[in-house]
Amino acid sequence: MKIKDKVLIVEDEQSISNFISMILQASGFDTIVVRTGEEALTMVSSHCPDLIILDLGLPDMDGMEVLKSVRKWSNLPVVVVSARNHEHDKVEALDYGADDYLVKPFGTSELLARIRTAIRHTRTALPNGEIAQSGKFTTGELTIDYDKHQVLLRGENARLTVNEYKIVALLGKYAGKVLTYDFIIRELWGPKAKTDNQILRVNMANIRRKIEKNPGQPEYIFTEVGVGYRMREDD
Amino acid sequence: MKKRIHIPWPEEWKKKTTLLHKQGNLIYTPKDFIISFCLYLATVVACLLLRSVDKTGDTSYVAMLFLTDVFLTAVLTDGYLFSILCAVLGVLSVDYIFTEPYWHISFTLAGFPLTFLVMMTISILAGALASRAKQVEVTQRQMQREKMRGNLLRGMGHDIRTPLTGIVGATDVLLEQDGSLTPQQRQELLRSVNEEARWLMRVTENLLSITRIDGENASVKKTPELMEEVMEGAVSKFRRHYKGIPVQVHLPEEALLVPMDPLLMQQVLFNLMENAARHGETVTQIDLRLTRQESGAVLEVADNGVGIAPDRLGSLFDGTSHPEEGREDARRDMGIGLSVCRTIVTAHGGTITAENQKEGGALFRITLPIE
Repeated sequence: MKIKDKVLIVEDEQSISNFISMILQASGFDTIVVRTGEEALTMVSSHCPDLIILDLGLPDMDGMEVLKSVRKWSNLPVVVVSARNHEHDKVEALDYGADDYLVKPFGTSELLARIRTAIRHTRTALPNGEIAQSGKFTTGELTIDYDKHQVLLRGENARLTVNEYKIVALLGKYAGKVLTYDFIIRELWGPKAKTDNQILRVNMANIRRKIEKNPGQPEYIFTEVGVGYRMREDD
Repeated sequence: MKKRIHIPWPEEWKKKTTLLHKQGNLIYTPKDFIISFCLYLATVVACLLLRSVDKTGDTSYVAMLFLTDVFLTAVLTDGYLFSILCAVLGVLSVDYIFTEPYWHISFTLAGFPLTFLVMMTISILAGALASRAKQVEVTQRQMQREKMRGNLLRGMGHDIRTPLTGIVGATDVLLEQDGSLTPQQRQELLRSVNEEARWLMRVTENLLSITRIDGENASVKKTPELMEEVMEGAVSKFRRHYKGIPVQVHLPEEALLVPMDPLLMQQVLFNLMENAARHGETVTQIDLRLTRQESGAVLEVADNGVGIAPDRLGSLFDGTSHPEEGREDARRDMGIGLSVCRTIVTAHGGTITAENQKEGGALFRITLPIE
């Protein structure tokens, strides 16, 4: 018998947990549904799910509390699903270790794609397994060569500056995942860097002009407005 | 021990004094101080100049100039404070500087009480008139805002009720007539419910975006954002909802940082594209163009559809742009998307206009100040 991935759905709205559970079961996952944060924490330690889908608005506590206490001892992927649409809610959840953040209402195909990405990321020791093996990351016609510190577009050097390369390399490492401005700045310029994301934006504008056919309709690096950037996954 | 005597202060008086302060009749602002000081200085200088030029010894212009000064101060500053101060100062100056003996106060002058009275009266009257005019302006602005909100709510109500009716109707049929429906019919009903519900979601998004605008000042929290990123977000959202219509993005060479609330501006662009898709009828292509001009960042959303009926161009953004009769009435959205656009763009200090292109199709143009 094939062992299925187990998903814990933490959601107090029954109509929503029902439909999420149905889709996941139809797509080959096992599901457990709980309604409160308290139950969620018990289930996490007793059932060891492969992924948590977490609603932020729970009846007994804020979903953020669940996220924080899970993150104290576990790296298991958490996809936050919330009606809160404000950028700072997203940034906060991502900075506290959520793997992804979906705003309600969301499409079912989107949900499945994000869940698969999140599970895959935690399976490999490095954020991106392909890089560990070959030292390269390829998506579409773009290749990041981590050994030579180069970004190649259709086999040709895209001539990125050092900073530009560092940004692309970081995004490639976490391809498919949204990296917040703060996270990128901290990784690149150290924890003491001023959190002014203007420089990052300007760099990003230049990167796009070098690697995208049309910077207004990017194929490789996508913007999560007010939150951060996400690199397209390898195909 | 000293005993504190409590003087009863009737509620009525209290109300009056607070009212006085609320209306700002005796308020002090540095700006007003500078205005009145400059006016006074100009008057004195003008009088001194005239006196040095004019050798006839006639000084009747002095009183006139000071009257003008008092009047102007009353009109240009808020409340009474500065106009009254100006009147007092004016009377003293006329006496001190411009009446024989010069540079000397002489209260014995016969005309003194009269001049004082006239100046005082003028300052108070002019001040009262000016503040009333300002009051009227404020009320008018409030009324306009109320009207806009009313229109918006009416549009919203309609936009929500129509799809809801469809959903309730379709699900009623599904629940009650289940036995007699063919699988195709069932699919069709379900699809219509799904479509209406999706439309409702987008109406709700518009509603929510309005709540991000600070109602009191109708302003938004701005941060410098890359315009192209905001356009990218709007376009990818549009693609998810309207797969059939290609969107082409045209950017200038240089990246443009514009202060804005990015989510709101994304909503504006999405609404405009959605408007083109729903109302353009024959739209097969949408162009999104960003340029930098002297007036600021200019965003254009152009389509190749049937364009906008000329009689609707004027009231397109009011949320009232729906003719009562005709097939337009059957449309679900009554342009609240567009009134939301205007509300958002205005709150950014920008402008939004609509026109028909010569080669056909509608064109919406947004201008946002860059700094």
